[in-house]
Amino acid sequence: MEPKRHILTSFESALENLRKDVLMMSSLFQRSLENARKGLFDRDEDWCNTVIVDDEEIDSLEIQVDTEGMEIMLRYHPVASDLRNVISAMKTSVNIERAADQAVGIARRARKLCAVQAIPDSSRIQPMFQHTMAMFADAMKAYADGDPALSETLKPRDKELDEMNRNFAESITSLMPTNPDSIRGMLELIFVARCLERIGDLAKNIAEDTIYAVSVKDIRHTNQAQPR
Amino acid sequence: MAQETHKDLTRTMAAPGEPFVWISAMGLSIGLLMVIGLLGIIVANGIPVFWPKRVIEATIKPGVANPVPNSGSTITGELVLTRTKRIPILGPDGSKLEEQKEVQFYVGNKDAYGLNFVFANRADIESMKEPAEIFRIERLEYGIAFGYLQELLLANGSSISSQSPDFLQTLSSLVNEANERRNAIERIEKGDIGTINTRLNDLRVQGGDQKSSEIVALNAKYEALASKARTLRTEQSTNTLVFKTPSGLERRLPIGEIVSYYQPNTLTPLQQLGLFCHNIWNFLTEEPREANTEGGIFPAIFGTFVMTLLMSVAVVPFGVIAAIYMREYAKQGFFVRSVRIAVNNLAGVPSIVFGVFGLGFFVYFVGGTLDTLFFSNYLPTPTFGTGGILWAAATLALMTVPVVIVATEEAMAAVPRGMREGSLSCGASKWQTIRHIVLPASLPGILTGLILAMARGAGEVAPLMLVGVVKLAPSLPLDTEFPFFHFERKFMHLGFHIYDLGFQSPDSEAAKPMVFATTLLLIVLVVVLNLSAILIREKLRKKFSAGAF
Amino acid sequence: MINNDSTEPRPDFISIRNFSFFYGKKQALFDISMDIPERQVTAFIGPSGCGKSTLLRNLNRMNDLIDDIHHEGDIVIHNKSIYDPHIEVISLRKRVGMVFQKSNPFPKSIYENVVYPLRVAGQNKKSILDETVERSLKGAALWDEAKDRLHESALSLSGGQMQRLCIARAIANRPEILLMDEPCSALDPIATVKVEELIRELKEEFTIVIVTHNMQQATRCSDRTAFFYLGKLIELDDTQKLFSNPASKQTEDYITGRFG
Repeated sequence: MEPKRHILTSFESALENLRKDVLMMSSLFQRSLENARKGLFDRDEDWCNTVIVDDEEIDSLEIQVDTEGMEIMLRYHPVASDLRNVISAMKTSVNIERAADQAVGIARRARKLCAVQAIPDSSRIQPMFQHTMAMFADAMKAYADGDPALSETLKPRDKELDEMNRNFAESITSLMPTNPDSIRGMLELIFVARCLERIGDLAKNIAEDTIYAVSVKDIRHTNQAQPR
Repeated sequence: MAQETHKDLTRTMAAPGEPFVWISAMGLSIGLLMVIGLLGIIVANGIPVFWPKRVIEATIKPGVANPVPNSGSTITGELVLTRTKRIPILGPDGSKLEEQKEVQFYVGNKDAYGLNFVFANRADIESMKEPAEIFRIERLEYGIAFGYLQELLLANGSSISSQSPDFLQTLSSLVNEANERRNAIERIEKGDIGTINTRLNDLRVQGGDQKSSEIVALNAKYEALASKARTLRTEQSTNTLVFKTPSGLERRLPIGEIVSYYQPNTLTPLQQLGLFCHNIWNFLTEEPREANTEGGIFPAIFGTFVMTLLMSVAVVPFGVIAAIYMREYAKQGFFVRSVRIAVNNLAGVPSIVFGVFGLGFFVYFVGGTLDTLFFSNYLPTPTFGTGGILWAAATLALMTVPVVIVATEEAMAAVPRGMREGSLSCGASKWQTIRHIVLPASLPGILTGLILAMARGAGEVAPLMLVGVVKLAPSLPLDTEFPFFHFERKFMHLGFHIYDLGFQSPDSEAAKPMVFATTLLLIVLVVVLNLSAILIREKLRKKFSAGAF
Repeated sequence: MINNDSTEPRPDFISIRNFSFFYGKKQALFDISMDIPERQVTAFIGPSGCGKSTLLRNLNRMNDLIDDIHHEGDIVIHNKSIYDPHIEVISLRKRVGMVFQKSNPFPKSIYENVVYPLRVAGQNKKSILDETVERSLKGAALWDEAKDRLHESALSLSGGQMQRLCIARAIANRPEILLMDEPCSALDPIATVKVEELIRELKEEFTIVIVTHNMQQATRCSDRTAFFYLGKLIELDDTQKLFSNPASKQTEDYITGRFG
């Protein structure tokens, strides 16, 4: 069934623009993360620089989302689901911006790694990248579709990512004594993994906000999904 | 481009309106002109009645017949009218119209000449002069006399010639005395004897014993007063004024017959003005004489005023209560609607029909019943079973009640619904709402209805002729005699007075000035009544500024 | 009729039970059942023609003025049906006061306006009337502005003052319930918030039912909100909950402005 549109078309289009901007932010971020990954594995400085430059656009979009959100609240006094959507859009944009900062962090470290020789077993970080990127993509899909079921899968996956991060840190640390020249590089890799882990946390936050926006269930700070 | 379109717009939108503004202004002006014209004619014809005119002695050319009998070759009187008439005169070449000027004189002295007004061709008059010595005397009988005073014949046999220095003074004091005596006679006859008569009548009707002490005492009083009156009457005729008419006839006039006198040709403008005001005052306050052609019309003014007031007092409560019932309490169905239609149609019924209804219902039925119930002793003389001011007021009230009902209904409907709801929501009953909120707010509208009713009622004459108006009423409907309000009495009415003067008086020429003066007075009376109602309404409107009425 | 209850406010002070209302053959209200709690503000919202004003006017039987109406079901105030034949409508209206959309002060003085309900009830003692005027005008936040002009015409007041005067008049007789039919729709914003503040103070003594088109007003003023549509009661809940997470999709569509 076609959801009803607001009678005030300006209200409807303002909400629509807000949503589009958030989704634009997320696709920009996903591209940046991919570029950072390429910069890391292909050892290509240009990709890293692209990520750093593109971050500006994401930052300005965050400000724009904030402004648009405030204006909608001022002008249209949204209630019920509209109010929840606006607030979750503003919160999601903050989370995406932080994730983008993490991507910039990855890019910087990847640039440093380009300068030194290749690290053995750096491909071990690849699954983390994939996991994180999938998590984020699903969180945004759940946001876009208003899908609480999908959102609820993010929490266990974040736990997995945490696990992956710990394992990776351990395994790289164990390699350190045998590759003393690569210690600096390995530390950078550990930081990259930490960034990925943080991105996963942020994706989980986005999912929690989505669940609240849609079904008014506040599952933040609880161990299991429970209605407040 | 935009400017041109703008100008086009104003041209096409403004232009069609202009002619209509002018047309409506023209209509209003025509209406105003007609009103002013009407008032102007009445004033122009009516006011000169009171202005003291010069008396002219006109000498007729020898050979022309004098229209005034026994007058020789002079016409002496007031010049009242100048007009041109066209006479077809046979000339050598067939008929030819010639214009001639004609003048009308008021010559007075009806007892000598047998007429009051004469016409004469201006061309026939040789000369006109204003004799200073001529006097204008207003008499109780036969109207005005013009003459040259000769001498005073006093009671003691002596006489004072008009040449002697104290002639005028003596005459003046004698006339004043006579006027006072006349007032005294009237007081005795109308007042005291009237009271005794009424009492005697009541006692007789109650079947009293002719020999009872009260009747004897009253009869004695009556005799005493009657003889006193007789004495006074004789005193009125003890002194006599001798004067000569302009034609040379000598006439004798008892001082008691003189109302007033003056020398018209020696008056200064200020004296004329004073006399003018005096005449108007007399007109308003005196009783009529000489078949309503002389004297004042006070009883008619009073009668009209009292009747209009009575009518208003009758019509307002009746109309307002009927309107309240029809609008607020009656179930709005077929019956109420037909009653409303009937009431509205009642407003179109010719007034004479109301007169006939009033005669049949009020006078014969209700009045007759009242007579048999309460005044059977007086029968067959009807008390209420004949026309009177009460039935006249009732008839006119019936005639004007539709106006009041309609105005009241409209005014009540115009009270905003919110006000009624506000009152009801405070816990007021329907009647309390009507009494405290709706009726006070409708008062301006009710007064509008009253104004319209008074305007219609004060002007109607036809129905009154059937239910209580007379040519000459012996007494007023309100006086100092208990019970003070005599609603069964017949009364005089200005409108009827005008009709009577104009068409039923023996000398219509003499009456013409009075007709106009009375018309002017009737208009003034209606305007005064309406103005007071309008002023009251304005005050009320300011107080209750809700509603469009 | 002073409400001396210091006990727990009753949740079913006004109980509307399966109430249907008909204008001639046309049904305006369909089987409404709801409870209005004592000493709280309950708001009726809904699009035009949904029956909220009709229901409000039934609470003090103002609809009796209209011809050819009938109802089914019952309205019970304080355990007595208002349609009980032993109850006089006039005494009901003394217990249930009303303030209208367009303020309707009488063309009398301010003093006479406020004491009108007492006078029609037969109370003419000057001391009581004076005391009522002061109490009511203070209660309506109009005393300071009006106390020096008590005998001037009520029509000389401004729009907001007139509406507060009508409120003072409505509370003069100390009714238990106050009905307000869009009381602020004809007022400017400052007068509106003054009246809203007044409602907040009044609810400590009176039970208030307010019909409003302005949803922000409902969210600001009321404790409970009822949403009506086409003569039916769609949802009744705490205001906070109804406006942040309504249970019914129709309610949500209406309050977010999606109404079709």
